[in-house]
Amino acid sequence: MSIAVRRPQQGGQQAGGPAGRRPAAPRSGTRARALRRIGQAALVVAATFVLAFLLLHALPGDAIVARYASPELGLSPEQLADLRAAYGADQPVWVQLGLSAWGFLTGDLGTSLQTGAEVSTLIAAALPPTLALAGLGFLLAAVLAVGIAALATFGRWEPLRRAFRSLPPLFVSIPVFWIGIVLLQVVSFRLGLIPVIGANAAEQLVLPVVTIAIPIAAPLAQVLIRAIDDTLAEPYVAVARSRGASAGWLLQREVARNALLPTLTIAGVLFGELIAGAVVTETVFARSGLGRLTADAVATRDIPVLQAVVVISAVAFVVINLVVDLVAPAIDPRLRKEVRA
Amino acid sequence: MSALTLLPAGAAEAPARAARPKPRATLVVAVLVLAVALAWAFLPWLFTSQDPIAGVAAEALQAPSAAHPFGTDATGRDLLARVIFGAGNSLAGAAIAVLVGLVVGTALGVLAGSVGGLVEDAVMRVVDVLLAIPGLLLALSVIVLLGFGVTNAAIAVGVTSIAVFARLSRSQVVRVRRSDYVEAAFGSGGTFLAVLGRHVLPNSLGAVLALAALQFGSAILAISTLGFLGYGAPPPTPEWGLLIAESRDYVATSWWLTTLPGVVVAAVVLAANRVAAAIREATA
Amino acid sequence: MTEPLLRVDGLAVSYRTRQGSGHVRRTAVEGVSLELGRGEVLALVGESGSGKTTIGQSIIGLLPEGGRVEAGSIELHLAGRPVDLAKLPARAVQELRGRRIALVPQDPGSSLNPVQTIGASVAAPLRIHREDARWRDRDSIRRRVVELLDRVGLDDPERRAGQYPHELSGGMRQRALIAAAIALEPDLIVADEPTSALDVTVQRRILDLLDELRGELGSSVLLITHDLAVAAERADRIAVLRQGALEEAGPAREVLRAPATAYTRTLLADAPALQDVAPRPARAAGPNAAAPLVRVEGLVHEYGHGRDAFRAVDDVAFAIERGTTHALVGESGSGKTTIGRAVAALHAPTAGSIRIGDRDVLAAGGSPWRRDRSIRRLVQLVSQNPYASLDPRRTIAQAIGEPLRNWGPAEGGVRDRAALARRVATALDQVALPADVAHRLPRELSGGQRQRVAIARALIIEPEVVVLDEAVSALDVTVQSQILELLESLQRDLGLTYLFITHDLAVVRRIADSVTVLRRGAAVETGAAERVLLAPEHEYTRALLDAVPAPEWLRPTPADDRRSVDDRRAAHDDLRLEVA
Repeated sequence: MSIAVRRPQQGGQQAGGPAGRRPAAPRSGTRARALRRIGQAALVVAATFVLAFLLLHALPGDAIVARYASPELGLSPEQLADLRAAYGADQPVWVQLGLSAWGFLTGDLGTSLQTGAEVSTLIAAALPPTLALAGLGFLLAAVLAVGIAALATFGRWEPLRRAFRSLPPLFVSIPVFWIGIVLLQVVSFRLGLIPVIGANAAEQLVLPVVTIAIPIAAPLAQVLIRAIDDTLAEPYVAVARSRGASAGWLLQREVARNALLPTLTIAGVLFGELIAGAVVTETVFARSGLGRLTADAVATRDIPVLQAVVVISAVAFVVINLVVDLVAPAIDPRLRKEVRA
Repeated sequence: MSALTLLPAGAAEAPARAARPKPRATLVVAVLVLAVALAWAFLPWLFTSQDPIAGVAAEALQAPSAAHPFGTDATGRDLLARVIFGAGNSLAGAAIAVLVGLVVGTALGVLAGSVGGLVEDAVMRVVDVLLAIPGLLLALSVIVLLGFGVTNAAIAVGVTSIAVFARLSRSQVVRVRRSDYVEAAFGSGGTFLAVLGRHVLPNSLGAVLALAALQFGSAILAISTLGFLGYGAPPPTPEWGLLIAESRDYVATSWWLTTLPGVVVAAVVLAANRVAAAIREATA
Repeated sequence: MTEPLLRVDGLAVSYRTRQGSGHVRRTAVEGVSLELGRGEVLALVGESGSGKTTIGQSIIGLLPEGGRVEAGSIELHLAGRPVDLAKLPARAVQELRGRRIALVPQDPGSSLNPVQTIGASVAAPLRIHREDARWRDRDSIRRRVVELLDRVGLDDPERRAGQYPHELSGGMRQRALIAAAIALEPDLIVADEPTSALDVTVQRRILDLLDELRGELGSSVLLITHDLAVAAERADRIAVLRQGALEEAGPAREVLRAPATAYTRTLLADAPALQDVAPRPARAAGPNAAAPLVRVEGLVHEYGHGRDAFRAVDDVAFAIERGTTHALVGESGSGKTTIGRAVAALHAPTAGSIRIGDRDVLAAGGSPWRRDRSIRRLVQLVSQNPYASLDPRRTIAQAIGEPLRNWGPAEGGVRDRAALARRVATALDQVALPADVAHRLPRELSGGQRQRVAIARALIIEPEVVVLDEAVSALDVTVQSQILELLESLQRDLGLTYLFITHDLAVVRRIADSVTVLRRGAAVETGAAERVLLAPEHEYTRALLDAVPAPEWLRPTPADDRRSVDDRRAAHDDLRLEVA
């Protein structure tokens, strides 16, 4: 799915060939394609739901038994059976799947095994701090990535370009949790720049945002550098230079837009990194949020919570890729037309 | 944009830069780092005489010194010994993870790419679904299914890489299958299996091998992350992620406890990535 | 004509290339001196690797990374003092680019920014060089763009300006690129193989346009081309390059009528368009005349289906006599490759029949590997790009021997190692390759050698029919000529039947016994080569023939008494010996 947007082959194919005398595809073709693409996305979401459900309900025994059968709770078999009935776990798997799916469609995400609270309430409470963290982290990552990529490709000086080129591979090799801890150690304990206790909300956000930004910036910068390199190697860039274009002109008019598309295609991957980053960062900095909720749900085998997080993330991933696919033709006119296979 | 002194000279050199190979020296260093890590994994006792599990209480929280190059932890255990003995867990875990992804993913990808048609569609939709769940969440789901532990964590990480292996190997097979030389091989009377064995697999698996090396690095990272979150090896097993997690309480006072193991992890991952790049260059 | 516009003196250019872990500088151009007068066309002619493009890039100041002018000067004489482009600071050269010196690039397909409109690409030089007060504001730029697009002959220029490159054909794109090049009325236009990616009929119109504009603007043109015929037809002066050095230079007529060097004579002799050769005469009807070996009837191929269906081949029929060569001629999109692949049993057409002897090629249907394999021993394909058609990981011996290993001994295959090696050695010998290439990899061979390998591989299972799909199109003329000779002699010796697919009528004239001319999937004319080439009935065939570049003063006339093929070949070999 995330490869649905591809850089179309430059030129050739249609030139003077069949397409040259074919009328442009009518607008309705575009809409039909969009609808088909949306249908495909819905299918993936449905399949993902089934997979997540089966994965999490294929436990030996089931979630209830796993959660409550431990001897120290001392529940009798009858009490366990009651619990299972209360959670609907005594029904056949496909009935549970149907009920669960219906619940998700109607906004009922189930009840947490651990706290007994509505999962939707838990998630609603955990979402805002995570959104703040992820949003700011993504912004910082984008700025970092563009800066690194620009210096790595257009930098004035060969050693400088080389140095910036080696940053992304370095960043992807460092454990995220370790970055967080080292930042904490240096900034808070050594330098005392941000108090460990009694920091205000903004101060509390600084280190987590930096921590989460680095694993996002690395792949983003890598793709950007690659895309800029590829674009600069295109004959049309040489032609633009033959018209007297300066490097600034090249970057703005020839490179920027052409390098954007391959970058957009990794949006879904970056979203995954953000989720992982939130789990780790919130754990390291003891922040509450979706990541923490997830980590706790795993630790306590709180299946309904975990299932909700997985399904919601998958929906977000699919939607992001869908949006990228639908937006891509606005960036690259070649995608506006049905390309003959 | 003032920091970007945009000089035509820089842009002029750009085209050929994309293909420029990385310097050889870094590859030598990378291979050395991996060799040391592997030696640690197989023969840890050769590199340290200290016990990684039982500590000397009197020597707790000592800074790095000649006796304890990486210092000691809160229970007086030699940190270097724990890192060295941890290599086995981390590298074996990464190897299992890569094996799971490589075997299952490549089998699916080669099947999809070489058979095509409905089989390909079905496999690729499954891959879509696997990709739709963010990697860490998928790994966590698998861990909930299998239970905690270093092997289970490794399998979970391996499951998350199945989709990547499947997609790459399929696209490689499709690329080779469309090539003129495969057509020529069929054209001269080659059977499906003969062409697959002579041309398609040898020419498509190079990239898969490079991905395996790359995944080895990311698997080390992912496993250490799971260990850090507490879903991997139970204490007091020396495992790199767990090692760092256990030291978090002493971050204010004992910098070496988190810093040094982290440097080792990063070095090994970086080395694996460099070797992956070399394999990619060699097989491209 | 007091002094030339451009004077290149003792130019030397080197590239940095990787060798092992370090770098070495390799000389690409050495001691080249040229002069280009105002309003003149100078053609730089040479085979690949001759340094012609490097010279063009040095003049326009756009050598690729690692390239450096080592010595010499490139003087541009504008009003006032001459400037040496080789020594001018980068900034100053940038000022001249697009304004005084313009480029018409090689491949119009990739030379326009795909996400910019044609109008934006054409306007680029106007926007970059803002000092010209005439085109400062949006409106005047837009008007100028439309005027330029109109000038280069694009219909409906207002609409074209708003279109994207992929919506235009190759010829239209090249026109747009020319419009951008002349936007600021440059003194010098560097045209680097401006038509080699285009169809012949389009090539003629683009070259005509360049000629016209040169006359109008009084610009000088540096025409870089591999095609001696194009140079002969279009240039005032010709400079022949060989391996980075100037072989000879002078007025076009002198160079071509009385070449001073053996190398130029070989080039001239090998250029198919300039060859003094008559089409093969129609053969006397032999005993097999009634039953041609290959018979294609009612062939239709559609891509896509339903409303989107596109007919690439539309009811094509032809027949080939055993032991003769039938040429399928057409421009891109004519369906010639689709037909060739169908005959080679590599895909199934939508409708029609293909028979080789008493075998129905289409009987086994389906994709390459599902059909009945036995047909493959009858027909083989040699494709345009021998590099792509050889597995990069397998040695030449493995490649050539592979077809034999695909068959059991009863079917003419060979499994025994020693026997296989012997057959491979024979095959190499047959295509005049030295025995020691057997253990090399494709990338270690030259283009011509690779094509010989591809031919050897096709012939080793002794097929009756060989489909040659643009098999010589990617090769330099001398190599092309050698491969054609090889094909001719193999045909004589083995009695092979060829289906020769090409866009190049000059090659057809040399090798074909019969011809089918294709246009947009349909056969417009088919018949004996002599008849079709000398007395074409269809206007499209005439247009194709006219488009073959060659100036009147060099064209062979029917009145010339022709040398026999063997005489020509002998003279040819002498020349090559002299050069080598």
